[in-house]
Amino acid sequence: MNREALIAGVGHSPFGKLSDRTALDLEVEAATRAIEDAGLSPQDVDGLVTDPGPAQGILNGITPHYLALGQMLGLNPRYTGSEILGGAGSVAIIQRAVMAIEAGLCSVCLCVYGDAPLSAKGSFDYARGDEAAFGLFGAAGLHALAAKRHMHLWDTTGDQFGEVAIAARAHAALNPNAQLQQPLTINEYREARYIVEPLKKADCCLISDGAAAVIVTSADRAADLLKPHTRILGYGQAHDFGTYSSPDHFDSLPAARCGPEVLEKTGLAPSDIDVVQLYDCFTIVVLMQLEAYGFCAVGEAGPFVEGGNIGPQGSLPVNTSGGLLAEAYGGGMLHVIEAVRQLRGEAEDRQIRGAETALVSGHGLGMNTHTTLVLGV
Amino acid sequence: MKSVSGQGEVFSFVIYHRTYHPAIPAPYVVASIKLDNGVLLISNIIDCEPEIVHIGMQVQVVFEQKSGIKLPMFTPTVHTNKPFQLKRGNISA
Repeated sequence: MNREALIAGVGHSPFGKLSDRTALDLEVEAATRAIEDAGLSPQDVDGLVTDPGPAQGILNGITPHYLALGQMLGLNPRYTGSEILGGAGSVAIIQRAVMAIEAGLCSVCLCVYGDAPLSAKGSFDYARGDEAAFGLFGAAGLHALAAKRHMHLWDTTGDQFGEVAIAARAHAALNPNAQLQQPLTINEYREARYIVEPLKKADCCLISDGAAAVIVTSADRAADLLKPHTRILGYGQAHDFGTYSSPDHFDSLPAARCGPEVLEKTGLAPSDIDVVQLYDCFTIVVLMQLEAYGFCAVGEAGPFVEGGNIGPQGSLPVNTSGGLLAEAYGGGMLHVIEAVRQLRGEAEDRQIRGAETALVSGHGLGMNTHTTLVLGV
Repeated sequence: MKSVSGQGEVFSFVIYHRTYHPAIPAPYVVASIKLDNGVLLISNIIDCEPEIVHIGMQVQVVFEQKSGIKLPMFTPTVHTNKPFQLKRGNISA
């Protein structure tokens, strides 16, 4: 018996403004596609872990999200639960599924992210604690504070944030599923208005209705699968429960604690990673993670991304599907799905040749949570 | 409770160009202020053009009445030969 966990299937619904669909409806579609992609049947699924996005929330009255979705899917699982880690949640539920599979608690675990924030307007602009009295609303404000610190500490420029957005759009142009397929030029970036200065619209991720799902199973089932499986090489988490009053809260990410540790455990160096999928709610977070994971030295992410270096023709393509900035807001699950497609060789025009290793990150809440997943063929 | 001076410097700041709540119309400056004793807090820089705000700028507290409560906000420090005195109250933390 080989309980080693592996990713067997991936699937997603359409993403965009889908006014006639509910989050649960989209999640059922994503789940169905992932099960089909694995070559399994719905009866095989005996685990369900979910990451409901911020608009949907984990509770509807007293009904938790996993129960509402499980009922729609007709499941009576042996293992279930939902996670609230903000943008770190999708990678967190994959990790939880891996642990459940390897502990023998279930044999086929369905991991689902879904939300429909565009039909619950304003849900991403929420006030955060007492700071709302001073107008600190939404995720953009606190990430803009971090961006301003990076500019101050390391002479990072607005154009360097723009390079991250331009790279995302260049990748998305190669992805037929992406919401923003038009390329972005540096002049267009410069001329655009600020949302929360120093962040412009192109520095902020999309807001999308949609759902994405991944099937995790054990090596025992490998022979039953329709497509090549994806191996789990390593994973970890680190969190920073500091507040906006904590020293250094805006100057570093908890990724600096778990990223290098996970890579070291897998025996891989940053330069060994072929597919880099970094959670990109804002361009500044990509810069900070490039440093935290060791793809460049601390303080050097600005110059590192210049000249299209993380774009399709660069030395380190990042977020080959376009990411949250240009593909769709998929909670982080679309980052996992893109990594699996790259490792299977299914990424068509945006395929990284010979991709054998992938790194996926999740980042969430008030820069509080971080999750890391390393995948391989 | 410990008294603090009400003086500090801008640790980081952002300029909201979009109004999120009608009570707080854009543009406005949200800043992380580092008080003289090292404590950081989120507040606003007021009575000052947003363009001149910068990290390291010296600021002093002013208390602004908002919807029945007094909020500690900050303005650029005015350098005089007189000892610094707060105009509208004192801050304790």
